Amino acid sequence: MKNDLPSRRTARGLSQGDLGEAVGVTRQTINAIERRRYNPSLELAFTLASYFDCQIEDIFHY
Amino acid sequence: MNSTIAVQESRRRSLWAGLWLLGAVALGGLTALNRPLVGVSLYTVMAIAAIMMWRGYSGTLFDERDASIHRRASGYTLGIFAIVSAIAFPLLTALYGLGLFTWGTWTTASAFIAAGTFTIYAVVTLVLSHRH
Repeated sequence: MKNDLPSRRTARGLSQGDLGEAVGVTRQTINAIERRRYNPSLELAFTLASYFDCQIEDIFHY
Repeated sequence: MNSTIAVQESRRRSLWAGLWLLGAVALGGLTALNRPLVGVSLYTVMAIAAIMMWRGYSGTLFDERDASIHRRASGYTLGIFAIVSAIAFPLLTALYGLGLFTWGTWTTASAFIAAGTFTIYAVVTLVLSHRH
């Protein structure tokens, strides 16, 4: 599943660790999502969308 | 979280695994060296240290991705165990029937462990299927 998490994250000047801490996951998980090696749970996808103040489909593209 | 904390997170994850590994090696190794109580003591100390380190960490040490990895690893492990059991135990039973094999302590224990494991799996599957 494609996503534009890296661009949204860097636009806010956040490291992967920063974003992980903000949404309650590890830096490795953010890294894995950005590299499309891991699809987040629906709960985490909602948390990320809420954090970036957008819809899930704005971040994740199937 | 800055990069220093990210490194700390990574080190703590390694420490978690290392403490459990050391505990297991101490338990097995010292038991083999006829020092079982020392082995159990060291294992207990390592286990408590690992749990305290995990509980004392303010950040996220393990998350949903770790749970997902463990689910997949458990599935693969149980699958391999199932395939080996499905081939090995009927074969050993056939050999036993032909008088070419005798069930010893280890093979009998292995058969009971396999039967017990899959009985637990069946019960857990049944319970979960009723809940979902």
